[in-house]
Amino acid sequence: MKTILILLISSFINSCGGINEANTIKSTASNDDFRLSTTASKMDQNNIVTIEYSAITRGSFKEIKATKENISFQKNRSKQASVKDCSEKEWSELMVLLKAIDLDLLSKLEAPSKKHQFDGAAIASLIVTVNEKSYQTPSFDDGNPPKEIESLVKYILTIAETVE
Amino acid sequence: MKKIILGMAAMSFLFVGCNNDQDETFDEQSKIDMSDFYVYTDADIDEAGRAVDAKSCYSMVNLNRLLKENKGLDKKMYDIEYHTRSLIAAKPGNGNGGGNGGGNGGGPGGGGGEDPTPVSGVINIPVYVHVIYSNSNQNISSGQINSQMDVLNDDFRRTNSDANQTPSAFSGVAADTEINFTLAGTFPHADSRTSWGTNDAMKAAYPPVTPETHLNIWVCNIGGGILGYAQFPGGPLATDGIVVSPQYFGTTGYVASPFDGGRTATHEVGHYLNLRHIWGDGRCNRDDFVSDTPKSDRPNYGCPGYPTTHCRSTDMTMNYMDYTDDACMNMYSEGQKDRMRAIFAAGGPRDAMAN
Repeated sequence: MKTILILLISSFINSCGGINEANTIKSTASNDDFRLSTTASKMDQNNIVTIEYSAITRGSFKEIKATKENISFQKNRSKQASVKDCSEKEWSELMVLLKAIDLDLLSKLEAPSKKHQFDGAAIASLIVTVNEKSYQTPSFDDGNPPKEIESLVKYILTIAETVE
Repeated sequence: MKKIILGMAAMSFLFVGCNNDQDETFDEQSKIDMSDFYVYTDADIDEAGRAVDAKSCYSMVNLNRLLKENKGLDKKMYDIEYHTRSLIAAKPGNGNGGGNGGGNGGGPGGGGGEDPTPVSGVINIPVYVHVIYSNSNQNISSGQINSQMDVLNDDFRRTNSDANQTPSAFSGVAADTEINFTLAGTFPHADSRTSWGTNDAMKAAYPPVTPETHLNIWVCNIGGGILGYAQFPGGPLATDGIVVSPQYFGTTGYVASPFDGGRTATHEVGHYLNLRHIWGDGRCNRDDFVSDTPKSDRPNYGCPGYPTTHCRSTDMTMNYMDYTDDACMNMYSEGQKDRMRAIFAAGGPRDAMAN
């Protein structure tokens, strides 16, 4: 009984905005130093970082995965990915672009367009994994990423073209 | 028991507390829960948005957002959603149980004056097909067009030959939507352009014919891995309708497996009649606004095994609004039927089609 009551009330509080996480978001977003240092610290030492970009429709599939060792590009759901070595220059450029993004805000980015909701664009998403912990964007239209990740997505697509 | 009653009382008190500085229109709207509605917003963003002002209720924050951004279309879509939910809430026997469908559709005959009333009986939609071709393959035959019309009618009336493939867990809510399609005319257009994209160029070149009363379908090569695309009700009339690439239109002629079962058009017409993707285009907390379709956080592809589980429930992978292959989809649900038919009711965005 008690649990039901607690559940009811807590669900009400949720629906009325009782939880204040906006402050945390604001402070991270408005404080560049803090933002950079948190993302940078995640990337420090010999952390294992994977960056994945995917864009899919009912009839097409594209997935690019980049690690320090290699870059793979899968163009078809039923075929194997092509793989090439990731050069030092490519990886350091990826890291520069990645460090400009606050990973904790990745899941809160807003897609600038929603054509994928009616099949007018492939459903795209970016996933960054640092030592098993994944940070994922909401779905956005392939070709029109949120501006916060635009440079990184562009660069990933550019190096994908060099695979094979 | 006492505690529950006490809890309820506390709840209602809190609700009043939350609503009391809103004016009457918002109070009115709070009777229909619009809190989960999204157009150009995402749940996670809304989460942050509502926390900004702890005094505001979720639905109000959301509505304010909608009104602020992208005014025209979003307000229109909000109104359509509100109208749809009012109709579904008023439907007798409507419960969110998700159980025994069967329903003879139609709904109640003559309801009351101000409340919106669902349209009863079979709705017939006349269809114009614009065939835009740059080679003879794309100039599809009337046989191919007719095969697509047959699939639309079979799928929406649940006379599809694979209806018996629906698993028993879902066959109770599988619906005859009582929506029919009749070919009203075909317009062939020779054009040297080889791919048309998804920015409505084909509609600018060959405008829709009486979109108020007719479903317009453009059959032309889209390219970019897109099989077909649609426009939700409430969008501009000049671009109202669906577009399908010729290889994925109909079941005979210039068609390509595994999308040669005519289900691309069935899916796009679903969007055209206000259906969302069955996974809600987001994570588990994002709904398709239909109560009898299980929540999911992703599309399914190919021919998934049964059961396929996401968000702790079995996905309805055989629903036309998933992304599975043509041969592996075979149903709309009763909830989807109600949602589609709501747009034909008086005051709905496609009421001119049914009256």
